[in-house]
Amino acid sequence: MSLPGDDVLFLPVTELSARIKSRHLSPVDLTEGYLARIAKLGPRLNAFARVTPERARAAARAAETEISRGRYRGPLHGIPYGAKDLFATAGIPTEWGTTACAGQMFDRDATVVRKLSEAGAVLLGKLAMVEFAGGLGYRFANASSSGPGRNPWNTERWTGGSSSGSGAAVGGGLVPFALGTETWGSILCPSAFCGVTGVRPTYGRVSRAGAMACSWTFDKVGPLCRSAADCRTVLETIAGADPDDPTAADEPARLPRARRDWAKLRGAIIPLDFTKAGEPEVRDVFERTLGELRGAGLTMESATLPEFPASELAGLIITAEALSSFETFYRDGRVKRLKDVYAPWQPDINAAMTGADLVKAWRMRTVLQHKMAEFFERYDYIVTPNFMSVAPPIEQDLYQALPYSDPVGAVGNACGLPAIALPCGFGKERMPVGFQFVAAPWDEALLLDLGELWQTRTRFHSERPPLS
Amino acid sequence: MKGGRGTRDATAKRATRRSFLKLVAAGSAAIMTGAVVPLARAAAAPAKRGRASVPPAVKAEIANQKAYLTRTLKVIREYDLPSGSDPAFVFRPLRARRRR
Repeated sequence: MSLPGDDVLFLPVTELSARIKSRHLSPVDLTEGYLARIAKLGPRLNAFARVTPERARAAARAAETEISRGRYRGPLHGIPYGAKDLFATAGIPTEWGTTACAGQMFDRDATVVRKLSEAGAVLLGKLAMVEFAGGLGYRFANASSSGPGRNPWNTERWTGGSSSGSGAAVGGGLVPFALGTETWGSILCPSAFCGVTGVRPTYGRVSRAGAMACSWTFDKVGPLCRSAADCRTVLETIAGADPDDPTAADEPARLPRARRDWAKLRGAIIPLDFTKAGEPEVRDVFERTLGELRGAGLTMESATLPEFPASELAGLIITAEALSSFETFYRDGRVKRLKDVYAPWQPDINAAMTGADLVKAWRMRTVLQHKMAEFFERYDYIVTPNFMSVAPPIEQDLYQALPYSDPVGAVGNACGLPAIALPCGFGKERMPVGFQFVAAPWDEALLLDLGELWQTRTRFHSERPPLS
Repeated sequence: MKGGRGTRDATAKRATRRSFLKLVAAGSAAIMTGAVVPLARAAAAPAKRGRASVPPAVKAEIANQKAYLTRTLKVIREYDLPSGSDPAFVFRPLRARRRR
C-alpha cells in the first residue's frame, strides 16, 4: 500500500468521491494517508482533541468492502472527516474543549455524526475547539484544552475560533471536511483565517441533537470544506428534521443547483469602515473581489442594514443562555478549570441583567427579524468582508488584535440567517482573506450557487498552505 | 447603530471590542471592554484564587465588564418596543402521554 500524497489529500470531496466510486481510490488508503498526515502535523496545529485511528480504520474497511460489492451509498461513502469535540460520539470522549469535561462520555452519537456514519463517512477524530465554544468568553487563543489553534498558513498565527480545529484541519489538509458550529462567528471566523469554505446554515436547518448547547436559540451546525460544492454535499447529508431536536425544521434537505439569471438578482454590499482598525490589504482584496463578482454578472449596490441595536440584543441573549447552559459548572466549581480567568466571574458580572431585560431582548429580536424580512424583499443576498484583518499572532490579546465590530454577524446570527465564507485572496504575510455572502432564511441553495460561481472563476480555495 | 461600526464615541469603541469577541467566541458571557497589556497578563495567569486575592488588574477588568453590561442594558431598556409587538416565543401546552 502506498499512501496518497498531498495532491490527493488536498482534493475536494467531489473529486475524492468520484475516485472512490470508480474504485480508483481506496477508502482504506485514503484514511491511512490522512492518519499519517495527522500524526505528522496535527500536534503542530493543535488541530485534534483526540484522533480515533482504530475506529477510522474499521469504518474505512467497511466502506471499502461495501463499495467493492457494489453497494455505493453516495458521495460521502469512504470519505474521512473530523468533528468538533462538542458532538457526542458513543464510545469516544467528548470534552467540549476543556479539562472541566475530561473523560465526558455520551452513550449515543449526535444526530449529525449518525447521519454521516449512515452516509458511509469515516470519522478520523474529534477536533479541537475553544472551551465551551467560547460560551463563557475568552480573550486568548490558548483558551482550549488542546492549546491554541495554530494556523496552517503560519503556525505563529491563530486559526480563529471557536471551531479552531475544524479550520486548522481542513486548511492544513488533515481532513477533507469538518463539522463545526456557530453561535456567533465560529464557522465564519476560522473559515476566513484558515482559507477554507464554510457554511453557517439557517438556524434549524441542521439538528443540534447531541451537540453541546451553548446558546440554543443561536447555535447552528455547519460544514467547513475545500469548496462550496463540498459544502453542498455535506450540508445536504446532515440537514433535515429530527425528532430529537424540535428546532430542526422540516425543510427539504436537498439544495439543488439552479440556473440563475445573476443580473436579475440584487446584491447588497454592506461596506465596512477600514479606516480605524481594518488592514488595507484586506480592503484591497475585497475591492478586487467585488470587481470580479461584477465581472461574473452580479448586480450589486451599496446598502445599509436596518438601524437596530442587534449586537446588544444578541450579546444579552447569548450571555443569558450560556450562563444557563453551563450553570452546573458553577455549582460544582469546575468552571475554575477553564483557562479564561474571567469565566468564573460571569454570573457576578451579569447579575444586573433581569428577566425582563431578557424577554425584551427576545421581543426586539422578533422586530429585527421583521426588519430583515423587509430588507430581503429588496435584496437577494448580502456581500461583505468576512474579517477586516488576517489571522492575528497566537499570543496576542484578542481584544487588541481584532478591535472592530461585526454588524453583519450580529444581524445574521440574531435572525438565524445563512452565510457562506469564501476565500478571496491573501493579506499581509500571505495570510488568507475571505468574504461572505449572507441570504434570507432557507436560501442556502442560492449561497452555494454563488459560492460555486465564485470558485469557478477563482482558485483561492485550491491554494495550499506552506506546511510540510 | 449603537456599538456598531458607524459610532465613534468611547462607549461605542468599547462596545465594538465586546462585539468582536462575541464574534470569535461563538457567543460569550465575557464582556469585552478595555484592553490593556497589564490586564492581559493578569488574565493569562491561573484562575484558582479566591475573591479576596484577585489581582487589581483582573478586578478592574471585571468592573469594565460590569460597566459594559450596564451600557448594554441601557440600550435594551431604552429601546422603544412598539406596543403590541409580537411575543418572542409561543408557549404550547405539552400533551400528556396516556396509556390506551
